[in-house]
Amino acid sequence: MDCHNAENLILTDHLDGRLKGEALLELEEHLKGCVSCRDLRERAVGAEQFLRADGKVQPPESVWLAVQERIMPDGPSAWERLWEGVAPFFEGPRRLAFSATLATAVIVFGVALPGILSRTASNESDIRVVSAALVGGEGDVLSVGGEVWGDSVEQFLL
Amino acid sequence: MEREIIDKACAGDMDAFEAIYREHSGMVYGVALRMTGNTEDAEEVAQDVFVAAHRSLRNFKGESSLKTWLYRIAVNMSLNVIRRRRGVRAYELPMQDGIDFEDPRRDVALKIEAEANERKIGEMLGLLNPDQRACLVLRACEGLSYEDIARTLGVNINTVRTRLKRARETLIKARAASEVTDGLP
Repeated sequence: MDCHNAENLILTDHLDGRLKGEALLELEEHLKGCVSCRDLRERAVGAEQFLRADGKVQPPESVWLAVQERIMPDGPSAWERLWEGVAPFFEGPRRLAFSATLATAVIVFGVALPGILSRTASNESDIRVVSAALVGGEGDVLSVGGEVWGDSVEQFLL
Repeated sequence: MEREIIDKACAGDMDAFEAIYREHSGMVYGVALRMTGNTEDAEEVAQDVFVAAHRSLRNFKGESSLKTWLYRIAVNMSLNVIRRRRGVRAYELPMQDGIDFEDPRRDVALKIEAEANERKIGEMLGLLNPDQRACLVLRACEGLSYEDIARTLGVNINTVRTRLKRARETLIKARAASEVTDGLP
C-alpha cells in the first residue's frame, strides 16, 4: 500500500471504523513503517475528537411556540374559547346544578322571548303607521291609532 | 411505537406532534446550527423543518426512519438558507449569547474553554463548502453512518466518502494553522 491509498483510507473508512479484514491489516502494516501517515492519523483522530466533544444543543422554547402558531394559524375558534371558559362549571359536583340552571334559563327564554319580540315589533310598527297618518293629516290620534295606542302616540308626539 | 405517534400526529393530535418535536428538535437544531453557523438562522430552520414535517407527515411512508427523514429536511433547509444569504452574511461563530448548551460542567474555567472550542469549531466548519460541511456534521457531530448520510443527502456513498476526505483535510490544515497561531504544541 502506498501513502496515497493510506491517506484516503485514514481520512475515511479507517477513521470511521469501517475498515476491516485484509485492508485493515495492510494499512496497519503501512503505518508501522510510515511516519508521515502515522502523523496524519494522529491529527485526523485529534480533529475528529475535537468535533465530537461538541456539546448537545437544544433550541429555545420560542421555537416550539412559533411552530405551534404556524401550524395552527387561526388558533382556537370562538366556540372553543367560549367552551374553555364555561367548561369548568360543568365539571365536578356543581355539574348537575349548573346544567339544571342552564336548562331552566333556556326554557324560560325560549317561551318568553318570541312573545316579547313580537310585541315590541308590533308596537314599533303601530307607532310608525299612526305617526305617518297624523303627519299626513288623515285624522286624529284616537281615530287613527285606536284606543289602545292612541294615548301613547299622542304622548310620544307631544 | 414511532409509527403510532406519527399516526396520532397525522390525525391532528398535538400532544403526539409535540412528542416528536421534543424527541428530535435538539438534533434538528444542532444540524442547523452547525450548518448555518448562527442561532438566528438555526432557529428559523428548526421552525421551518417542523412546520414542513407537520404538513408532510401524511406522506411519510416509513421507508427511512423519522430521524433520517427529519435530517434530510433539516440539511436541505439549511442549505437553502446558506444559498439565500450567500454574500449577504458570512458564516458566524456559533457560540453566541442565548445558546443553552447542556453542559453539566459548572466550573467557569472549563466553561470558558468549552466556549473557546465552540468558537474554533465554528470557524473551522465555516471554512468548508456547504456540501462538505453537511457530510462532516452528519458524520462527526451526529454519528450517522455513510449509508444514512447518502440517503439523507441524496448522493452515493463514494460522494460521501470524497466529501468527508476533503472536509477532514481542510480541518486538519486549519487546526495545524490554529495551533501555530495559538502557540499550542
